[in-house]
Amino acid sequence: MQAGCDPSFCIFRFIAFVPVNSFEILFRSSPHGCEAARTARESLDLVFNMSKILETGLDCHTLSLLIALCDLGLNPESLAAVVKELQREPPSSPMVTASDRR
Amino acid sequence: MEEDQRVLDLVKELVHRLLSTNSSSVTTSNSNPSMSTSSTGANGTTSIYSHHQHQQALKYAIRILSSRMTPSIAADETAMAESIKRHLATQGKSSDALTFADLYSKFASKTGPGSVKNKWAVLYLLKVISEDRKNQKVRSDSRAATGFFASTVSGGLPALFDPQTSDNFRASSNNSRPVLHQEKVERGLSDGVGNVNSRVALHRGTSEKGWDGGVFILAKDPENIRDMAYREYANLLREENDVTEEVLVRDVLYACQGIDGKFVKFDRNVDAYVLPETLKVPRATRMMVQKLCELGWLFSKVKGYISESMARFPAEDVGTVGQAFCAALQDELSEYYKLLAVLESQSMNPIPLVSETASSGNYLSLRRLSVWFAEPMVKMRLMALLVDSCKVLRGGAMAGAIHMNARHGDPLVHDFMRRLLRRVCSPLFEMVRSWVLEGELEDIFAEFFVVGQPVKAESLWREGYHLHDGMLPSFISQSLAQRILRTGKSINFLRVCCEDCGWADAATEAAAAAGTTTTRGGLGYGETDALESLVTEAAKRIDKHLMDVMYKRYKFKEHCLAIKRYLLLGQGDFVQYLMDIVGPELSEPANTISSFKLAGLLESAIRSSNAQYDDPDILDRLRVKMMAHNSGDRGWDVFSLEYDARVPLNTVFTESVMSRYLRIFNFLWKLRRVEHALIGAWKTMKPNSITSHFFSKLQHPVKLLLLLTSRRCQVLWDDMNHFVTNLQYYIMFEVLEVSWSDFSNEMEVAKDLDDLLAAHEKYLHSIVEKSLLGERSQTLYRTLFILFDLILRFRSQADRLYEGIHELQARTVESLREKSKSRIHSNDKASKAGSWLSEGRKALMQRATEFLQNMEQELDATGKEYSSLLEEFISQLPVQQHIDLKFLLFRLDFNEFYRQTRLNT
Repeated sequence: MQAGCDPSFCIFRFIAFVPVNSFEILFRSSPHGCEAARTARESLDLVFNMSKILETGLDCHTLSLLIALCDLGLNPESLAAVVKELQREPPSSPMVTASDRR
Repeated sequence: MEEDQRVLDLVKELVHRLLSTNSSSVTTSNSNPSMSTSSTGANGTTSIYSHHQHQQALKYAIRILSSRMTPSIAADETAMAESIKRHLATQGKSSDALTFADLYSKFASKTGPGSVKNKWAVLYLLKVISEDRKNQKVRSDSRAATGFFASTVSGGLPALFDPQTSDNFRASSNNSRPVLHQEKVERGLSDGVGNVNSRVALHRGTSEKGWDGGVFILAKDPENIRDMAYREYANLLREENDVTEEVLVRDVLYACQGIDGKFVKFDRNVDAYVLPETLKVPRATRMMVQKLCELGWLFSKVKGYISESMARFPAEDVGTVGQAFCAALQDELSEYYKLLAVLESQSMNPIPLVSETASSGNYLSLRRLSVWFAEPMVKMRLMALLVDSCKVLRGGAMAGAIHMNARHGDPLVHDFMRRLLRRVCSPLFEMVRSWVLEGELEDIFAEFFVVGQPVKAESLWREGYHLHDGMLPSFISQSLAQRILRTGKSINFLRVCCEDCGWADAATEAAAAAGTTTTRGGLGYGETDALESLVTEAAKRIDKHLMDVMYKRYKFKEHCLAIKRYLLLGQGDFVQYLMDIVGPELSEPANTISSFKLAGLLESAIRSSNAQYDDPDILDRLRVKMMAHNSGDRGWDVFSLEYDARVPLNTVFTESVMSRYLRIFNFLWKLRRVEHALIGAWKTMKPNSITSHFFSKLQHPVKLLLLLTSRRCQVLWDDMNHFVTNLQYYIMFEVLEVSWSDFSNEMEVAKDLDDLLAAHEKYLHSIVEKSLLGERSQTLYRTLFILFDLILRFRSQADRLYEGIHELQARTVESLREKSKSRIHSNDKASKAGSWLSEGRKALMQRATEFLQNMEQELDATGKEYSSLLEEFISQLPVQQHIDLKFLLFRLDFNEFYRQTRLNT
């Protein structure tokens, strides 16, 4: 099952060079043409495949969000922690929110 | 600010998505939440979460994100990819690992607009998320299982820890972490483990909070056991070692400079640096310390040699080569000191680590030290080896011994030895250079292989200098050494004997041709080719110069020719005159002859022959010499000529050489004398009209007797003449001239004085051998001399005979005249006279007959003796080895007359 990502999920591509204020504009195509779009799509595809091999359980959209956040310079460890916490079983999540992790 | 807003927006979106996927996963239990195709947009799914929960989650997420701003590991993309691959491989999913590798390579190659910039972060993210999921899955799996199942799932390992002890463990592990890390790092482990531990601890921390009362599966977590093992190991080490490794390292560094450390001391019995037995140190460490301290032992050996040599130097026992060797060793040791200094400074520093939490020990461990010491050990071993082999040697021998050790394949050793040898051999090469280009022998310590001794000018060439093989280094071959010796000798010879200064130009030319200069330091070791070319050039030029000087200035060839003409009787007319003039003088007893008179006679002989046109310098050198004589010697025995060869020619014409010439001269002179005698006899024997007339007047018996005697005499004379002539011819043409032409040819091609000396030696030797003067021809020589004496005796007999005949003739003629005269005169007187005359005539006849008979007998005896001697002589000739003597035999016995005679008797 090598279904690829929907190219519209290539959020991170737009983050790289287009200054946008809200993320609705994210879905508009960039003025830099198809080359960049293609590269972005291919990169996302590759990362998605890698994540499938590693069994991360992430879908394409979430993955593109995470990539965008990484590119902006956020700590991947913390992002992973966020993912883990928020992917917990529903009964535990309300209890977990308030505790201190350190 | 825009960035932040964007980030915030993205985070909001992420949270939303995660929660929505969660909700969808709840509805579809245990399904893979990654492929929720239904959720295409942010809005649309009815989430079970309320807006409040969303807000809370968002706040929480933001808090998490802001709490950890920097990642805990270094951002290395390739390392991350590698670790993921490895992880996949160890889990048994090798095909997945390959696919991952492929994907990663494609991913990494994407650059430019549209690509992910922070690839490392993405990879790390994926890794962490996948690990988290795995851990979660494990825990979710185990939640269903009981403790019993847990143990089977974990592969039979019992649940070692309950939450109680796990708490303790966590606390203790937190406390022991610094120690653990220190010890682990000291063994060179990577800090990744430490990091994992911190994460694991964190994990456990979180799981502690989450899983109160559950069974704690620690067996499935291998890192825990590892921690335990490390802790136990650390305790064990602490018990075993009395000393820490730092102290040992420092002690070893001291030992490597020859100083005793706190624990490592030099043990004289074992002759090594060892740790004392009382100290509790594991055997491996002990052995390692011992191995490292070998360097210290070698070092002290080398240092000892250097200081010993330095101490001996004032006593002049250590030569220049030895000093150079010590200097080179000291240079190498200073390099070694530098290394030790660096190592010592390093030993104090800790290793810098990326991780903030971990701290490391000192950089230098014993094992690291052994790596650092590998190269110095090789060098030090070499130096100790050289020191051992050179302990008793000096000069060229030392250089040769060191050179033998330089033939090694390892490039490190090769370079090292090359450097060392360059310095060690520089005094030697300097000596060679100054010897070859200037003839100077500056050798205070007797290290050079050319040794000189003070001698007189005439033996400078032959004995002044010679090679000392003991000091000849092995990289200079024998032939090269010979050439070096000859070149320097030639310069000295030119300077001392020939008083010539032109060699300096030749030397500079030679140096220029060979590419070096005449100043110091032109050559070094390893340039044996350059040395050889320099020596060859110098030898060529200086030899040529020497030959020029010998031939042109000192007219060597002319002098040789003069010796041949005068001493070897080459100048025939001069010899003839000399013999004529000096002959009567020499018949006197030796002690009555005055040499001044002879000198005057010599002068007159020279002036009356073609010799007067010769170079006056040469004629000056020709002198008469009277040898030591006993009483009873005639002048003939002690007379000789000599030629005065001054410096530098007396290098060639030494005393011994001249004495050999003298011997040859004596022989030739005797031969000439004999020839001269025979010719004189011939003069008296020739018939003339008076004698023929007289024959007819004689009475028959006397006439017959006379005829017989004179015939006999003539026959004998012929025999002797044949012998002497042929011998003379042989000596003249087959011996002297042939040898001379050979010698001339060799003189033409002679390149240096040694060649010339050899050629002259050969010339003389051949003459001596061929003219029967050699040792092998002793008997022949004696026979020959007896023959000569016999011939001389014959001469006197012949003389007497013919004297007698002449007297008889005179008397007979007189008596006849008297007779005729008496017939004219009266009776009384005539009868008286006639009676007297008749009486006288009869008596005369009687006397003549007697005389002739005596002569005949004597001649007979002489003849017999002569023929027997000659036969003996001829019979001995073929026995001789020399091929030319066979020619003599051929000449003497060309029709085998004597052989027949011998066979008949």
